[in-house]
Amino acid sequence: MLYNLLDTLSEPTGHASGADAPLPDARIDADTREILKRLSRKPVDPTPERELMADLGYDSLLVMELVGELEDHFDIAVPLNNLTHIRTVGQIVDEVRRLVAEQGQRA
Amino acid sequence: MTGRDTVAGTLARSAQGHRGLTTIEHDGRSTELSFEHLYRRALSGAGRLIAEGLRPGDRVALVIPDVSAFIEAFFAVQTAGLVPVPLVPPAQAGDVATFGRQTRQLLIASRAAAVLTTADVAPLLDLPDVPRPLRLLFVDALASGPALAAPVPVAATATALLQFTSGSTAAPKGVVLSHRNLLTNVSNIAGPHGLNVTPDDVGVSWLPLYHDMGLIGMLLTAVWCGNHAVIMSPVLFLKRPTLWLDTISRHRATVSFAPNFAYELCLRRVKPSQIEALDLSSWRVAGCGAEPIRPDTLQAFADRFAAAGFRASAFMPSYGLAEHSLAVTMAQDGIVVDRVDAGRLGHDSVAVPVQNGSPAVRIVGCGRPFPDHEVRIVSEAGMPLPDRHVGHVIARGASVMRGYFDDDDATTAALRDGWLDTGDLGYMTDGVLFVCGRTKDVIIRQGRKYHPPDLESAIADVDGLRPSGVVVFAVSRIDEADEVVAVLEARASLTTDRVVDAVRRRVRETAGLEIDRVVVAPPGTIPRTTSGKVRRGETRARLEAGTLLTGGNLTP
Repeated sequence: MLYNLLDTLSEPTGHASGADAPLPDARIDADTREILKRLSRKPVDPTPERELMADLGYDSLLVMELVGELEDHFDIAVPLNNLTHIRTVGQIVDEVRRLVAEQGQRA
Repeated sequence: MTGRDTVAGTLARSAQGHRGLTTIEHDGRSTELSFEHLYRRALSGAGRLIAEGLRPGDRVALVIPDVSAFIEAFFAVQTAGLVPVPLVPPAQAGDVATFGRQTRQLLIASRAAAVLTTADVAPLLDLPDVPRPLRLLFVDALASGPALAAPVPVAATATALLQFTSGSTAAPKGVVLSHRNLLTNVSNIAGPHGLNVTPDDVGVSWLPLYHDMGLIGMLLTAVWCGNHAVIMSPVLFLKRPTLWLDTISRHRATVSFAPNFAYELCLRRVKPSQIEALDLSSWRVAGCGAEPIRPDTLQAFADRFAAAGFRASAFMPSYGLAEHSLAVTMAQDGIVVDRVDAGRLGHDSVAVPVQNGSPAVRIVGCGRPFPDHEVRIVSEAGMPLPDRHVGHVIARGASVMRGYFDDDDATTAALRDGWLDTGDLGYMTDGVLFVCGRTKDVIIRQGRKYHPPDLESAIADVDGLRPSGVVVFAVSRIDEADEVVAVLEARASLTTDRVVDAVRRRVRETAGLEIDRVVVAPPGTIPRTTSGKVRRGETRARLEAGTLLTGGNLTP
């Protein structure tokens, strides 16, 4: 017996499933960085080469919060094992783009 | 033999009832797992493990991020008469290299005969140096095993669990617990001096199953009682804390435990609109333990969530440690705060109650010992101390571990005449235990333990540091989280900022720990023994007294 708990709980977001046009990369890039900046513990501009933990002050708890925010905002599911390889802002943006492209049509 | 005196026996008994578990994975997928079904899966999984050549008493490491797969594997191992060794899965261990290194060291330390994992995780394991024979087994294979007719019989005194207390790399300590240890503790947790469970109680937990509080306090307690429990992925909670409360609300749950930081996370991240949708009126036991309890957090949580029907009287401050299976005391009277004179506590180690106005330290009462268990406060020399005198907390009873795995020295140091030295400092009054510090150098952060020697050796070769010019310790704040401090002696030729950054980064990457304060000091600042070993306690004492530095360089 399976049901998706998150589907029943997630709040409406700007990009909920059902949006017709695919999100342009520039928008993904800007939104991701906006979220990264909002959660960051340091007033540092999240340029692609910045590292989440070393430069933006993220710790393991905050990384999980970030994943939750990105999942809600883009309506994606981030596979956990992918996280263990990610260090920089650029890598996060690339991963979100890839997941949006891969999962965008699922609804 | 399959009575209630072994872990597998408790499952066999609960399988005769009609209840079971609900599991929720990190992506929100939910599965119903009745005890009857879980038992059948355990019998076939055990058949598979035996067919793979594993023999009673062999240790099997579990590296399994998925909730229901972990639970099925744990009970298959139990049913085969083997000893589970739960390890931290990736994603919660930090980066890939750290995970690989920590896991390899624990596989070696536990002399595991097999590692049971998933196809996702297996490529991240770093197994080449691990001594053979070590079998790599997948949880998927358990389902197709030739089912046993009954659990492999084991004695109640046999080892039921090997629990590593932290990812300590220098000296990993494995706590050896027998079936009797575990089930004595579980029966007391469920009993009238603990949760006082009734058949209609429903538990909810997001606590990691590789950690004692989730594994023993929730999973084993639910199986022992045969009660319904909802076990969700810790990742799901960390991503969306509101899902913990929402799960309690929708399942009309009555019992749920978490460390202090989880209540704080809810205060910070659950939005007002989400609180409106919650009904927490069914929640009769909101346990708090595993790290220092801050009365402010609990009070703020109670105030904020009163609108959802939460009652402050539901809080159950608790004290425990892996060496005592899990729980030592569980408060029956809600939050009892003792306001004591800060100066007398610090200087004379006496907890003197103060009236309003004077500077006070607030310490939360953690309850009384279980029946047939004892707790005492003793001096350095082991002499019992009177009420309200701070000393070493020692405990005795059938919940106390058999010892540390393969480590007689550590076992001898921790156990004397059946008394367990908990490593914590505290006092008692009217039979209630108040914990107010630690004798050991262990750092506790978000319920996880870190060992200073590990952190120091990780930092040791950072460029710019003098040889053995580093000391790491925690400054305990009693009613707040520990502050983690590193004191460094740096070579003058390098800029301080770069060294500080490199040290922070190294600790973050190797241990997943954030250092709160880095103190860069001139050579010769760190006190040492005559043989040149750093004196950690003395360094901390001098820092706290303000005598460590004379005009040294402080970095926030």
